[in-house]
Amino acid sequence: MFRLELLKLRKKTRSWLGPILVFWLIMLAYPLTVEFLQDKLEIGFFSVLWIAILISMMLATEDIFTEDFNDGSLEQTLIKNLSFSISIVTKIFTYWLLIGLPISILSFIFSLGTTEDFSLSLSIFL
Amino acid sequence: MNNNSLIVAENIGYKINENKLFHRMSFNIDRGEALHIKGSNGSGKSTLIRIILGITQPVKGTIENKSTKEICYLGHKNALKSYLTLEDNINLMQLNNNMMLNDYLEKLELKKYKDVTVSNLSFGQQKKLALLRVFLNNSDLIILDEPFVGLDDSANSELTSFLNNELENNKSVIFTSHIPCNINSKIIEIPQ
Repeated sequence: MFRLELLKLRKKTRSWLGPILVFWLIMLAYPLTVEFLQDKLEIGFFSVLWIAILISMMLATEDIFTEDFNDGSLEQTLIKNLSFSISIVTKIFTYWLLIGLPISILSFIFSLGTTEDFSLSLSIFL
Repeated sequence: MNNNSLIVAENIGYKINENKLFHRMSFNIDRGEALHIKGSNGSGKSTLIRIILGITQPVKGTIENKSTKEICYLGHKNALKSYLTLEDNINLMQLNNNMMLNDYLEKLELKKYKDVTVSNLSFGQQKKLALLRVFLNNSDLIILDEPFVGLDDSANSELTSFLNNELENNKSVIFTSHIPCNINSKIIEIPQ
């Protein structure tokens, strides 16, 4: 089931790459646009990081079930003998793997580059 | 009702807000029997099918499904992924290992489109692809909502003879159709 969910999401490049690119762009734009914090970027870093995460998560999750509902796949999932909860958890896990995990890794890299504090960056990743 | 019954519905009713779609509807379907649900547009045929499937709960009455296997269902929506190829969709339907797959791909004239994205197939070809779910089913109850819409004559007769054959094999079929079909079935009509 995980393999099939991965196949679907992998082929929908816009759905998984879009949120990651939005996150990447917000984090890249932060040091370039906030001139008055040039030497103290870490002051506003975490606010920007959380806003970027929220925006990218909003983009990532908005169509997580809509497509399956619209094309009738959700009905097919409902009538299968497999547990519906397991199907849903598998789908959410796939989204986390393709979108959530790369964003966590990027957060770690941006945090390390800005704060130079490894343990803080690691906690952001986790 | 007897031991051979697969679906037993007693006095089921459904309403949307205060509008009754149907009420006190009772029927049973035995193994090897077909049920044709008739009614005008908006009369509640698809809702009745969803109630039989267990997706929607009736407002009144009870419905019992004695089938132990997974129900084979094809509704208005084809449950296809338009951005995937025909082959990927077959994988998604988990039909890729079915022994009869190639036979049906040939019969339905879909074999040469294996690498074509579903969005580039015609409506009828998409319907045929979705019908693979039915042709390659491993179920004892087949539920179809307007299965003949969009099919050409050869696919139409293929589906009709397939369903008649399934009935002979003691499987049950429930379907709605506005297109006349040659399937020996019980009829229930949902009043407007």
